[in-house]
Amino acid sequence: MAQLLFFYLAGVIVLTAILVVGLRNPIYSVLSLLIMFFHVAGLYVSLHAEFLAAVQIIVYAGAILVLYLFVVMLLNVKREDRYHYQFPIGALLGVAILTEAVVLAIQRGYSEDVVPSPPTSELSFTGNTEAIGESLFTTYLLPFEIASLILLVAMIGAIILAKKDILTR
Amino acid sequence: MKFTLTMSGADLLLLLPEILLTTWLCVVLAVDFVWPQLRKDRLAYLSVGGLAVVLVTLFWFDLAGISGTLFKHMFVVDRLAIFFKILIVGTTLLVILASMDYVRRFRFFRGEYYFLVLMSALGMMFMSSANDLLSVFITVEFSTFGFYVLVAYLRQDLASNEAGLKFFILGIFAAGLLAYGISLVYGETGKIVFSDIASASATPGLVIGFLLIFAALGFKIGAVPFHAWIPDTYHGAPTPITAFLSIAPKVAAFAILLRMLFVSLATFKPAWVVLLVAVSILSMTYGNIVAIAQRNIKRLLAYSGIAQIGNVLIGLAAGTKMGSDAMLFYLLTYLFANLGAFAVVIAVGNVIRSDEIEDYSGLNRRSPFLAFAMLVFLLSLAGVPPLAGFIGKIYIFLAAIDEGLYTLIVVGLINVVIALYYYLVIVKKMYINEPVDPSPLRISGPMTAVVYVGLAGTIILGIYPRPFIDWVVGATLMFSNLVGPTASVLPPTVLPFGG
Repeated sequence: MAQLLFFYLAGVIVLTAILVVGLRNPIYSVLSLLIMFFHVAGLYVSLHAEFLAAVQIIVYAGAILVLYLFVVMLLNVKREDRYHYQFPIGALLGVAILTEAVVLAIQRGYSEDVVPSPPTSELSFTGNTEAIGESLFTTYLLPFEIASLILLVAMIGAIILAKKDILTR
Repeated sequence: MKFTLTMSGADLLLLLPEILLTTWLCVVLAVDFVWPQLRKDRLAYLSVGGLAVVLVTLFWFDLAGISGTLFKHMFVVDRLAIFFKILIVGTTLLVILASMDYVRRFRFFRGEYYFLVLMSALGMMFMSSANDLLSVFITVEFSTFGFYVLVAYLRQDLASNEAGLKFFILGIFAAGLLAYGISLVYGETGKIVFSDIASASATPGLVIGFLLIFAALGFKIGAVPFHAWIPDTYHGAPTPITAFLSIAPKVAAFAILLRMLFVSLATFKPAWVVLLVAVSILSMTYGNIVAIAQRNIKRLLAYSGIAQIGNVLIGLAAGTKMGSDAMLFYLLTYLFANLGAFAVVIAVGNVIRSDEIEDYSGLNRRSPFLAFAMLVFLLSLAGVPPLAGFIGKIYIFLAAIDEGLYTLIVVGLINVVIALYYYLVIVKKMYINEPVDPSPLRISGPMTAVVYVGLAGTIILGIYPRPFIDWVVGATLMFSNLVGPTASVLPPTVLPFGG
């Protein structure tokens, strides 16, 4: 059952990912990206990473994707054929990497059963959201605080670079 | 004093310089915001004051021997980190002083300029203390974000916009490499702290992971073949930012490289020495040869900077305690000479509004002081006695001789000659050619101060290097167990020459 679920999710992810780069209309691309994000979130749930799944939906599907849609719609991007000239190079690299992946898969073989490591005791007692929150505010406090400073720089930097009246005034 | 993990008031002391600077830059931002009529050079002095306080704190840390780690070894304070922080804060202070005239060219957001410079400095201070892969990633990104904006600060200038865009795209690419490398290393070892990784065995994933991390850090220090962004970015960026970019981020990235190579990868030394020798030879040769053809002084200094980084890498390639000492000392000499040279470029550029080498003709007639200062800085960069650069080069070559890296030394010596050539071309223009416009150049007070500091540093380090050598030797005591196969006959603290 779990395997069936995995193959469904993985299959949809690969398919929609191909559609993202393959479709000509950018709006359709963004929408298939949305479907992909939801299925990735499903994959996280099946791995017992509920927090990551929630973040995936809130941040990627909720915020980033809306941003993409805005950009696509505001910039009024029409069909852009120029990029399709890169198809031969892309195909070449893709085939090379695919071959490599297949060779590696054959070499390793399917004999080993991949057993997901059971969640540690700490995780199973409290939920994984609590565990992440706790380590964010103890062990990983410093990167967490630095991230807030990065946001401050990004915010001020964006205003400096993008404020319009600088050139017109 | 030795602190351990549990967070207490005393632990916060380890973060004191960073906390001070964070508070201060918020003050600078707030003052700029609530008091818009305040003249912006007052804001610069406010920033300089804050940095001076941080600098004093750091010197106190160094003298009191305060050290320890925080957050499960994620953040480390030792003499090495303090050394790098002093270099970074000192550079920032001088850069802000050197920016004060240049800032008038920005039509808006003059106050936020100082805020962003301070913010980048803060990021680089954190970089010097980074002791695990997670903090490496986040601090490297933190320090680069401010620069993305600062490089494109001249919004009406197309070259600056282009520089900003190039730097941004290549910087993001490097960040991707770094993140991917870190994920591979973490995937293979399950550990992120440098000293824990040391026990790992060399699996293919680990090798690829570290190569990717080195590529990303190579981008930060601007070594060949990761130098593609340097010339255009240096050319287009506001000159004080070019000066800042050519020193501080490289210094901070060397702090990370040093810890990573000497702590995590000490057992794989033979493998990375080959890599560093190759990168060093490429950087020196490419940087120096391409520099000859440059017509713009900022581009010339960009290429000469690439070559200088090749020199610093010689020390890293030696892979011994003495190599790291020499590297630190070289960075110190590079700081003074390069910052001084850029200060002259800023001072001249503020008046003549040009960075072409041709326009430096007859600088001696127009401003004997600036011409003399430029002469000293260029000769120090070239490594002419009795200036700082000479001691730095000798020190670094001696460290390499101890390890038997003779190819590297031969290439290094050939490059000294090439570099001397194009530095002397500028000197000839300044002293022998006739100026087109012989009117004297006026330089402001802060600018003069920066040039004097550069001159003082370059001359004192050259004539009386003893206390500085003691300082760098003390800063790298943690590496004293690292002696190469041939250097083991020498005790690691023996100095190559007296003061």
